[in-house]
Amino acid sequence: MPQSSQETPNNSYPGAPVRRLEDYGLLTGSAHFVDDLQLPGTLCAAFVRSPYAHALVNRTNTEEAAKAPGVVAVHTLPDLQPRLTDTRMATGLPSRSLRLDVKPGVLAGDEVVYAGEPVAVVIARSRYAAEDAADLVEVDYEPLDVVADCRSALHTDSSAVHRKLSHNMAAAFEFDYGNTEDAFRDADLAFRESFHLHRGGAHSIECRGAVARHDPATDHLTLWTSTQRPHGIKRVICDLLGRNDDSVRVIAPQVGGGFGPKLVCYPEEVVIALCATILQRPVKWIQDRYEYFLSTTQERDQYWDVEIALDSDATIRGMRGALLHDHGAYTARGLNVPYASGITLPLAYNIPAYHLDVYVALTNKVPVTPVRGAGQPQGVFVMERLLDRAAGKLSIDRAEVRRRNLVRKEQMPCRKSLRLRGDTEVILDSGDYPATQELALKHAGWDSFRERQQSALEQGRYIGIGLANFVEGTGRGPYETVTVRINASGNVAVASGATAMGQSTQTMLAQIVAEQLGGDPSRIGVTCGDTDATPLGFGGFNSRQTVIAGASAHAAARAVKAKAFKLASRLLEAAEHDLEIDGRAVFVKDAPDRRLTFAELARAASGLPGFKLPVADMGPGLEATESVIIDDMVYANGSAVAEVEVDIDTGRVTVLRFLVVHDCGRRLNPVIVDGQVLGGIAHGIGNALFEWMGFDEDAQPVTTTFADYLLVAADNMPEVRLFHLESDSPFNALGVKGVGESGCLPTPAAIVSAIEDALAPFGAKLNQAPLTPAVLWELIRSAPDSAPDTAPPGHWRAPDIDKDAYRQESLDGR
Amino acid sequence: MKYIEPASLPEALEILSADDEARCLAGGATLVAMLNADLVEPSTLIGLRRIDELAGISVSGDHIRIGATTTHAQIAGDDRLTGNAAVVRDAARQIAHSAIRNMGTIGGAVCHADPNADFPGALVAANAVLEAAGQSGRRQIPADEFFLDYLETSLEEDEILSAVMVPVEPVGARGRHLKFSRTHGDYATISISLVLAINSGACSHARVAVGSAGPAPVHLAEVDALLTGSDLSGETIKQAGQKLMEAADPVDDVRGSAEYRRMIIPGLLQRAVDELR
Repeated sequence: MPQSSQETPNNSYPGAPVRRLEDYGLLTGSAHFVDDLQLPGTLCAAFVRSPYAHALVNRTNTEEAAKAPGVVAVHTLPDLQPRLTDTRMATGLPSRSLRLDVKPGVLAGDEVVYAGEPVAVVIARSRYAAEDAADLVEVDYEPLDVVADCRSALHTDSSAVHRKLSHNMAAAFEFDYGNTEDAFRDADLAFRESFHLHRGGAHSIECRGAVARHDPATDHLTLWTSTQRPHGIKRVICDLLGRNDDSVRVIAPQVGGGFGPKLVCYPEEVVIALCATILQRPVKWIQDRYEYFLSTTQERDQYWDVEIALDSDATIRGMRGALLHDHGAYTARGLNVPYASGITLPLAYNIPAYHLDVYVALTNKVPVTPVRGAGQPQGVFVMERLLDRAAGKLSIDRAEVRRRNLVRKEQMPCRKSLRLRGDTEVILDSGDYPATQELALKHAGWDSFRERQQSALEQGRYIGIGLANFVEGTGRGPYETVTVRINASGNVAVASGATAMGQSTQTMLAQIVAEQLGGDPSRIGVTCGDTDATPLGFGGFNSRQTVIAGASAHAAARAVKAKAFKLASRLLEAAEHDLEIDGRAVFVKDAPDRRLTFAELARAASGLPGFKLPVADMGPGLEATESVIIDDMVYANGSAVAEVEVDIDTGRVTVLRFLVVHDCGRRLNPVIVDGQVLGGIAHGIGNALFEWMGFDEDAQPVTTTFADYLLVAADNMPEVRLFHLESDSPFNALGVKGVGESGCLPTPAAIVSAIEDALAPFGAKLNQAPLTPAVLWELIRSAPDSAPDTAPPGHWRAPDIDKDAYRQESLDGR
Repeated sequence: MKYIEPASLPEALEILSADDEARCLAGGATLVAMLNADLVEPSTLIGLRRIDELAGISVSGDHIRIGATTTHAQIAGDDRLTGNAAVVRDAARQIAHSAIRNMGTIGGAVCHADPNADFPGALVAANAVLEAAGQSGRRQIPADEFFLDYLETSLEEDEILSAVMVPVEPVGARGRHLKFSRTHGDYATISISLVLAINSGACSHARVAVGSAGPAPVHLAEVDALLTGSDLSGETIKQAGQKLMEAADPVDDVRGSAEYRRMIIPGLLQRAVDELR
């Protein structure tokens, strides 16, 4: 069982482990997920998907499928095109670094570029009928050369992922500050390492799915979809279907996990919405797990080739190198994953000079978008492995090397020489990184580990310990709108563009509002993820909602409280500073009988026909809408220590103990924070040891069931201990930072560090993740024969790349 | 697709022999997943759950009879499976997860004959006999001769596996199914099924089979002979492991390369022996 210790107890509503508003529905099974929607007359959809990673589509024959029992319609892109303003979906973020404009299609046209790309849709009276008929759609494919590996994608003789393009360099950009040449020229120690980091999919329990309904009387289109970003989906649908904003409503019902991939708009969402308007019947599509493996975005491969320069006392002088990132076949979100990887490397430490060339390569695989952590775990991994290596070369303890380079408390707020993707500054807002590490070392018994290791070794057991620090950028702006209203019935209603996908967003917002209005958060109703309830919004990603939506909820609740006090002051004839609020009423502190309930106040504020409002300079109603603008991110940090045992007969790793000291500023609800961190750690353990999205040389996915693709289950979780520091952020009124992703940031780095420590007798050098038993066993077996400088598995040397040789091109020929 | 639930074995056999495309359904742990994935399309599914004589475990004389529709969970929980039969119980305990153990049956598992499954090796190590029922009567097939190839057994198309008979002898033996897998609940990367009897330091009975190591469990009479009568010294185990490794013919897959699977066999055999000693 995980243990958690609160270093800073706090009993006010924010800070208290209140029960989640979401619990009743989720624990009793009465919550509604998208597949629970049973609209009368609903038709079911199944998609025909490309079996090839790259092929021309010469001809599609839907006749047989259309005649199959129960089938209502079969559509290909040419059928839908007259009703679309464009055949491609603009779902990515803009960037000047993009060389190739490769937007995903609504359906594939004359070319398919990954196995699983949707080519046609079958709509039928039942799911069975739709799936059976999908098998009858005849597609004449002409296979083309496949780009299966991002390392060969940039070779000048590589075939193109898209036949219409001349190269595969989706983007090239760099991070650059300080003088790296000087840093390396005068260094006491400089060395170069390469890394191969693989992450798989996100694998939320609920796969994707959507239901659409069109109301002909009002020409309103409603789409319920399992998404992290209903507002983003609505934008794409309005644009592609040529609809005005008032005629489209997108709702995220209960979402059974997102973890990143549900933040982009997918072809199926557009097709389902369009088919509902064409057929004038509700249409439902529910993705199964096989389709999730094929067509839901993933994170996959990164290859790094990096050098670090240090003084003999382990002070870092600079770093330089290259990152090659597998982008997949389309730009579904943008460059945020490799950008986040590159920016994460120098965050936690003082690094005077940094240069990183980032190459983003197209491959004939499903597009890459963020998976929990969004490239940051890879950046942490590379940085932490380099520091371990430096420690070894300098014969200085691994923790000491870090101690000498961590950003110190007195440097806060610390302006880094880096820019975020939107060109805003990177300012580490608060935190005591060295103290965080010290606490982790203390709880882990770091100093006494060598004795434990020695006595284990005497029994033939190979145990090791590893450490990793991380700093995570959280709370991506610019805003999230929140409306707080006291209704005439006396209840408090909150609506936000924030979107819940299982991370207790409603409870978080309710706690913040309850702090201002008093009372029990469970009496507050919260509506999230509905574009009609809150027309402007962004949704859930980037560990942002507590920071961004939280700030607006805080401001809106304060505004409503001010209105309630102003009104009560007038009606009770008492000074505002003599009033108190308890979640149900406003009353006079010294005379609690002089009170007005929320219902009374709300009715008074809404006015009576022909009568003046009670307060002349206050508008009607007890309601406020706020969109607090936040440009700078806030930075959570933490230190993880892993203890592992390696079975040298098989290479199998057991994580014996794992602990994280975590600092996300003020914790609004410690139980929810623990849940988020633990979930992230589980994901990180998967990335360290298990999760592998395999493709063969034809870019065919080979791990498409959970029998092949391993996830961390409850029984693979080690004992985890969590400890918290609370360095309130000075950048927002609540002092909070995000927590949704942080657990997975240091976990692979700490575990691989520990494995390398356990296998020190074999001289193992570990520069990749995940590490399977077979890889480790091979290292153990070959140890006596291999030279100390043998390239480890996953070795990659950045080739000389002339960035200017890759032209700006577009699939549309623009 | 038709679904029929006959009440007796003769009735089930009649339906099966009348329809080439019919398949028997026991627990459905594997077959239903295969149906869902469109991997098999039988014309008729013959549900076996109403046939009483296929269910349950009984001890009679020199063997323990495990009916074909007995679930993994029932086998895992039955403390009569001791001595020579303990290896079968140990295998049942380690199959997948509890939900699957409550659903899957020994008959379904052995007839599916997935070489990565746990029962085939355990049944070979326990020297079990499989009872096949046909319209013309019943025949007994030693486990060694039952598993022919990937997903292929010596069962005839019109036969139904009715029971697995596990010998009680040798009574003093102990069994271990050592399953090495990437995570708990995964199929074995390699499994070692071992039955040993040790009398005053010397091995008086040994039978070992290796699973996930080829199209069928790897079992070598010469290895059993090498171990039997020996003192199970490290050197002997090493030799035995070497022979099994040489006989193994596993595949490359996500669980590991063929070479990796072969090479870890000796170490795992040593571990299985250590655990029984």
